[in-house]
Amino acid sequence: MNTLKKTLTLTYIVLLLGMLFGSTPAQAQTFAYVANRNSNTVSVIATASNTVVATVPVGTSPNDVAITPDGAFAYVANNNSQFLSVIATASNTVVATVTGGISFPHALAITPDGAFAYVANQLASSVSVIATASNTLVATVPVGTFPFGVAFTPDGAFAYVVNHLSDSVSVIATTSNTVVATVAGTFRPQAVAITPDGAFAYVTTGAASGVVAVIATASNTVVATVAVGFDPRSLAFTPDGRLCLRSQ
Amino acid sequence: MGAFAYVANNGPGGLSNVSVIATASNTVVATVAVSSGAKGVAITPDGAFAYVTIFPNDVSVIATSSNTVVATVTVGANPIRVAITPIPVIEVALDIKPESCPNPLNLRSRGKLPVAILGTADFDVSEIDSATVRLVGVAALRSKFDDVATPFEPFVGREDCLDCTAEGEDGFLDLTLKFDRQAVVSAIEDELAAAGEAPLADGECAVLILEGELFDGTAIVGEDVVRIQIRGDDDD
Repeated sequence: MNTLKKTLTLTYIVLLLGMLFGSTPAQAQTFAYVANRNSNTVSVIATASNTVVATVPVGTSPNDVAITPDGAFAYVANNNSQFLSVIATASNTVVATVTGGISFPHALAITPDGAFAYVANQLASSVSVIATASNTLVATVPVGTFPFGVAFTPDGAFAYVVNHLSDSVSVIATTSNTVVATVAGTFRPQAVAITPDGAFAYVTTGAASGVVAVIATASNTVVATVAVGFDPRSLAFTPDGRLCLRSQ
Repeated sequence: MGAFAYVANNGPGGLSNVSVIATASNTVVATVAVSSGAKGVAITPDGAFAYVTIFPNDVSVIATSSNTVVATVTVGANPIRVAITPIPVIEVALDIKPESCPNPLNLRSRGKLPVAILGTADFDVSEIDSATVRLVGVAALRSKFDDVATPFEPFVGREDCLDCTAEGEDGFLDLTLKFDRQAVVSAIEDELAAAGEAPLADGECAVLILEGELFDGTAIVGEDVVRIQIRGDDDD
């Protein structure tokens, strides 16, 4: 408690000094959480200064990180452990481990409302649905072999899971936690990301001849392919930045 | 305009790079060379930087404006995937032309466009840094506090021209703003042209987005629907 009081007092003084010296309004800080697979740690980079501000020990072979929409927690998939590590971003310490249903987790994503983490279990060929409020297992969804990546549509209605050894993508309806479609035609998919407007899922596929497959979420079919570099692993989108949209 | 996808290509050897795909055309518009083994990528919430994990122990920071590596950060061994914390965003009730529903926007009218960000029991508009507020990217000419309107729900996700209310004051203070109407019209036209879309026709409806910040750095976003009018040059 004393430490907390001191911290609060210090924060208040810093804020007061900031006001006295006419500093600009506080900028919302962002931090990058990096899974260091061979160090069994997560590095935390302050993006404003590009310096590592913390190194957090986690489980064995951390492979993926997902952050809750409120920014409070980072969930880490430890690929050679049977658990997730949950890092509180305020303290950059592990505050919980999640074991329910978790088996060699390769990837994970958190629903846009922050309520659930969907965890791709590499060897179990399943997705574990974890309630973030209790960090307990609420559902297990069988998918293809070696699920390697998970992403949600912006409305949270569907999770797209890439199955590395099945050459397919499983589409899970999050209301029922059942697979409602399986998209074929993606060779050795690695990761998936969904466009900010929710219209397309982009999947990194192939090895030597790298291709990004574009799946229309309305039809769940591959509608385009884009040749990229060798062995594409991950991908991410810039915000679409639309400020004016024609409505129907 | 539209989103760009940043793809981390692992390599082998000297063949590791990052492909930048324009999602509007699904073409690779840039290739950024990195030293080796790019495996993960995440983009800052403002879209300005891509963070790419690089074998054996680095993160390269790419400025998305120039698609060049602007910084390199040493991390742990064999970094794989990366995630970036979000900036907290509060959805606010926006009312273009308070006490009017629908909200006509005559593309030929000059003068001022009145807009209000509406206070509620949970949201005090005096926390808004009005200098940061932009409607379709346009700054306000002036602002003041006044109780002028009642929120329509939902605050975001509005689609129809009649997703609005003409109800007036509700007992909560609002931030009223005046925008240069022609500046907003130009911004709308530029936005649609950049997206490769046809200009808005008479009678069409469009959702306009407002962005800004609170004094503590929290982002705010609001939207409202306008009905396009193209006639004369009188005030609408």
